[in-house]
Amino acid sequence: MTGCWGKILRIYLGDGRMEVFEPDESVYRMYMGGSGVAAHILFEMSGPETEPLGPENPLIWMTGPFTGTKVPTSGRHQITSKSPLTGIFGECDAGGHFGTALKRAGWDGIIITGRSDIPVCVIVNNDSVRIEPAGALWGRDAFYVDGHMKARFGKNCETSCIGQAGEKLVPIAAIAHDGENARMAGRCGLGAVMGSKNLKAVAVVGTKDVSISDEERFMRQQKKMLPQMVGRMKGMHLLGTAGGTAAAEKMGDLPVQNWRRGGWPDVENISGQRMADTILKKNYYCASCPIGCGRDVEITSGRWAGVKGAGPEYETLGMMGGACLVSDLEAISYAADICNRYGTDTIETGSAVAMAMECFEKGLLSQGDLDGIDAKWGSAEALVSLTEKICKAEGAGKLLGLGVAGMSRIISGSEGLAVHVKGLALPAHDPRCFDTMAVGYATSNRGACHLTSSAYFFEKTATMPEFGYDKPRPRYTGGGEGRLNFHAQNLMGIMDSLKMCKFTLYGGVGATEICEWYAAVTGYDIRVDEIAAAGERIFNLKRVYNVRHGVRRRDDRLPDRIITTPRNDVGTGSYTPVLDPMLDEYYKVRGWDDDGVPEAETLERLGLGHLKEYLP
Amino acid sequence: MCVRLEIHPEYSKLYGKDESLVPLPAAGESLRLYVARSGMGREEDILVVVNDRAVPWNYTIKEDDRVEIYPMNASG
Repeated sequence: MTGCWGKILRIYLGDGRMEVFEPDESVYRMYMGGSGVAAHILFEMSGPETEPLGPENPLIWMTGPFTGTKVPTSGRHQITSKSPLTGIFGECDAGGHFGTALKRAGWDGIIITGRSDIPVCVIVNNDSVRIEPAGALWGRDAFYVDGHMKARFGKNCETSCIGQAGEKLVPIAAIAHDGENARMAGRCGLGAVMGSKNLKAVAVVGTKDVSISDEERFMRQQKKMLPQMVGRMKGMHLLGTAGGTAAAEKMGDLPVQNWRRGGWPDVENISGQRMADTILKKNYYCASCPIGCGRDVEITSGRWAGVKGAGPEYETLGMMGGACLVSDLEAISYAADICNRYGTDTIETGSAVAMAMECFEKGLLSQGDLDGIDAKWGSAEALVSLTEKICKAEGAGKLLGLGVAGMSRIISGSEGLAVHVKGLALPAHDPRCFDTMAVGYATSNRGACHLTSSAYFFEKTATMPEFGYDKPRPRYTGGGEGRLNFHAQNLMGIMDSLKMCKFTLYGGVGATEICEWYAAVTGYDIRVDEIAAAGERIFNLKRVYNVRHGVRRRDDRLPDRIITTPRNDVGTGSYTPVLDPMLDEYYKVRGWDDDGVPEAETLERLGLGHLKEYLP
Repeated sequence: MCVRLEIHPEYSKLYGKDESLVPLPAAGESLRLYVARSGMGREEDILVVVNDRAVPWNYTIKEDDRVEIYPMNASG
């Protein structure tokens, strides 16, 4: 079928073998591409016995049918593996240009297993693939590696690589793309998986045309949707994701002081508007994107001079700003720049620093424990110093680099200060503000993830008319949170598999539009109910993977702080989510039992009957 | 010159605002005060663009400014 090559590159780093893996077309039809196909491969190649940092754990890059085409915002790819941070299913959806290059090289994906004896990189030039020693790159940061590859192979060479944090197996290490423009595969610690394989980089040059099935139909859809998307998403174009920061504080969404209170007037100092007015140089566009939400910033003078490249996203501002009470935009940009260079997740890094600040305040960590750093709330110096230590895995950074769940296992009395689900730190959206996020975080297959359901989109301005949500859901409706998450998670799974940015939901894209693009690209007409079923199938596949790892209802939880501590701000008042009734509804709609295990009939209905043997 | 106001259809459709019923901004007032006075909607839902630039809420409106209103639709 058009939209995929039917070829995935398999590399065994232990002995350098390579082969072409050609999945049956039915795999692409069932799991669509990207996230779905990668989850299928991970399921087949790993299980509870697999050590996340062991050579047998596969690290999988996957594109989707839309990658490499002009479908708006389709310049994305998925990276999937068993997570060393959470010990369960792990995946990241990343933007930039790497996915497009990989697709244009004639590959739908790359699976890497094994471990090289020496640091190596993989060079893909269309059909030509080789493994090279990467000793000269080991110890270098992600910006350098990207620049090095571009210098060697041309400006169209795109790189997926780790910085020093991945080399040092920091559990919150990320995989970086696009050099200083830093499109990060941030979550789940997949940079450490790459480091464990002694793999520094995958560099790709792709020059093939990615054909689509029906050009005329495709152009009709483009003409209909592009102006609407650009018009509705002016905010994202002008302000980036940071544009929502001040609004988030007003609504009660922004984490403040490690999630323990609401209301933080200093937020205006770190807003997208402030960024646009001060350090913003220009927009950055991922491949095939008409919006350009990426921020390209520059700081040329002052204490934090030297930043040149990706500006902080909303999540970064939330975790390094609000959660740490740091209101210095330039310092946050500097700390984020360190994360981008060394390759760590800014959500986990900011969360770890916020938790360390609270531990410091409560006397659970001393200044001595923190290598002499005075980690008081709001200290920009402490934020930057601790970030450096995390990224370099030095001193106290070794503790903070474990992520908040890991920290709480070591710092006596700190468990209640670690705000995470299944070991993954909460991103900067508060379930006390958007109540649907409660069940969204609790049930996301990779831990606390805002994008697995993006449920909060549908309490703002986005809609899913095909599934009965033709208007945004008013906050605190009371009831229906489970059903909304069911539909939203299925739809997000499809977007992650076909490869499309979820921000397009704000631009009026929904299941109907996705079906139209799918038909134009692949040549297969597909109905909304079929695409929704594929999303449901993909979600259940990942859930069964986690069930194999012992995940049950007890793990579908929220941090105590979120459940027991109201923000007491204007946006949210005294609301705290009550999770159990939401979970009951959710499990019922999903066709899972009371303990969160998919029923055999559910798997049969979704064409996943072969997974029944993994049910308890 | 006087201050010009344009409420884009993306905003007016979403929040049901009729541009002709919204008072015009006045030179000398801040964007924050204007939005509150106008009854146009909640700050967190609104993106204000002045002379093609996104500006902070404490921006003081000037006589020949062109003020455009869009839905915020920006979040991480």
